Amino acid sequence: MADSPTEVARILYKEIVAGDLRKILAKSNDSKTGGGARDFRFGSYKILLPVIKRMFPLTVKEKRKRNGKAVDIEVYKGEFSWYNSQGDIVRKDSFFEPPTDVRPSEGRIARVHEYECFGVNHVSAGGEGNRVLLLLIQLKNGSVWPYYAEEETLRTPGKWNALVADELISCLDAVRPVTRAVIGYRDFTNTERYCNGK
Amino acid sequence: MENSFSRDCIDALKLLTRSRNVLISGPPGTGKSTLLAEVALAFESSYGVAVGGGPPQLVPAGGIPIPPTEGGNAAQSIPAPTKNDRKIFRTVFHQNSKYRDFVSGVTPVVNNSTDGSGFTIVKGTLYRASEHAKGNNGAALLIIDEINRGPAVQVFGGAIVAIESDKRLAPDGGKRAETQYFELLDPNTGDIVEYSLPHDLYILAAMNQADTSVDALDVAFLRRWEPLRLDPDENILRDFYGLGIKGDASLPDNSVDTASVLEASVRAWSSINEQISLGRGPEFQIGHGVLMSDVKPNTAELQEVLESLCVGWAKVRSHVEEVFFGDTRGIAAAINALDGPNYNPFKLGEATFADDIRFRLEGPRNFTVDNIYQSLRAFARE
Repeated sequence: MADSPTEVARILYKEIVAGDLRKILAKSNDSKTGGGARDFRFGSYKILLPVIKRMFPLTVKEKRKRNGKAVDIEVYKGEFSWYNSQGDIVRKDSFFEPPTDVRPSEGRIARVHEYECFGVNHVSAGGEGNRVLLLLIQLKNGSVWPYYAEEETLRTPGKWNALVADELISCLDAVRPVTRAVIGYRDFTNTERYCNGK
Repeated sequence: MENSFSRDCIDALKLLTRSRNVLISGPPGTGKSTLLAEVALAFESSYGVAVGGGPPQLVPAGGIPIPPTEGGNAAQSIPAPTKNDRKIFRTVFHQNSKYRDFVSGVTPVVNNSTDGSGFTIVKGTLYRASEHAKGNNGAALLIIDEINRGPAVQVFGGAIVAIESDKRLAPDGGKRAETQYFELLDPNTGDIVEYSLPHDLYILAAMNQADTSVDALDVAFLRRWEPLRLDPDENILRDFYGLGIKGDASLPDNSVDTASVLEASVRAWSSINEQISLGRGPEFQIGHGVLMSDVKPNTAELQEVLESLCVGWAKVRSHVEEVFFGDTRGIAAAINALDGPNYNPFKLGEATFADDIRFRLEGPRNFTVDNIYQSLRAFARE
């Protein structure tokens, strides 16, 4: 069976919370969302790492301040693809940074406000009963396409591919502490999956 | 992982979708266990075949990035296409397999930290698979290898009728007029209860039908399974050896290179299977897998290939001796030792015992790099 160039290999997803929306708008400067950092944080870093490495397959050295000192850290590098408003494909280097000592279980996609695909015009305000998930969709050809998914559309039969909708809904519905954002992945090339709820 | 599935795998999934119980049979070495593993992966991952109308596809320009896709023919070929909680249950039948282990029953408990010794009710493999498939969004594939190596009818017990496709519960878990119930010891309550099997429980079994060391399966039992037969396949062996299709050229007198040795192996294997089919029946043939390994032989040195063939052909020889056990002339015929060519290291000898003629197969005890090529050339009947 030949692969289709648009066939989805895996999806990494996380819930977009209010703090994330402020980061998209480059307005975040409150301590609850990590100071002024405009990044999307992903908990469960160690569990997600195999998938992160597939989506960000290269490593580069970056200078970061740690305990007041400039140090070289290894950052995972990949490429995001999306369509711009003219319908043209845009590709831009993407970076996934490993956890800091302060937040040892959280990796992050940095400088999200610099990517048009994360723009606020692509995401609804969300809310109770209509949570919003950020999807990093990796295709069989390796390209990674960021998208947002609204809970309401996922629960509407016939809107989404049933396998994808079932996977995301079951993780949305999983039991977890109310303070914990939904996060997980599903690899369609094998049976690997993760959801941070039960 | 492989991004595609074999034709046999797709066929098995289609049969499971249609009949729910599929029995793979074939001679040893035809890929039954490999196929079981492949179907398990396809079932559990639901990928590459179809789920919910086809594998997920990104449609970047639309509002929903991964909308439902048109499944085409593949949409009908995956069992329980809308079920997301898919699980594989595996068991292997053997002479000591019991109804208790497969369905439910009482078993002793020792070293229980709270109550000491006592008894408990086992949740058998069929029961656990059934319960999973009855769960919300659940589908289960139960794989039974070597199904004829245990007392299958006793192990299934009262479930033997209930496994039939049209005697299951409805897709929504409700009772149908045709639903067949059987009694079992409820592992949760300890009561005898009526039980039936769910719509999305699929059972895939495998057996070597011509296994001379086990009894044939009950015909009424076999009738409840959709058969899928695997046969020895010369093309698979040729692909593994890196050989093209069979040409007209005869085999050289001596083992001049790797290709000629491997060609002799294929031709000898085909010829022996023809003889087995004639003498004992096609179900007693030996599969291509017996001559395959993890190492591709066409990249190895000649000496290494010869040594490798000695190992594989020792198994073929054992198989021939087993299927013609007690029939020395049959063995000799299979390996071309009845008036065979002079270069065949094996000969059929005759002796007299109690005024009666006795046959005796004469030849090397084991294959070696010095005799394997001439043996194969002779077996190939060139």
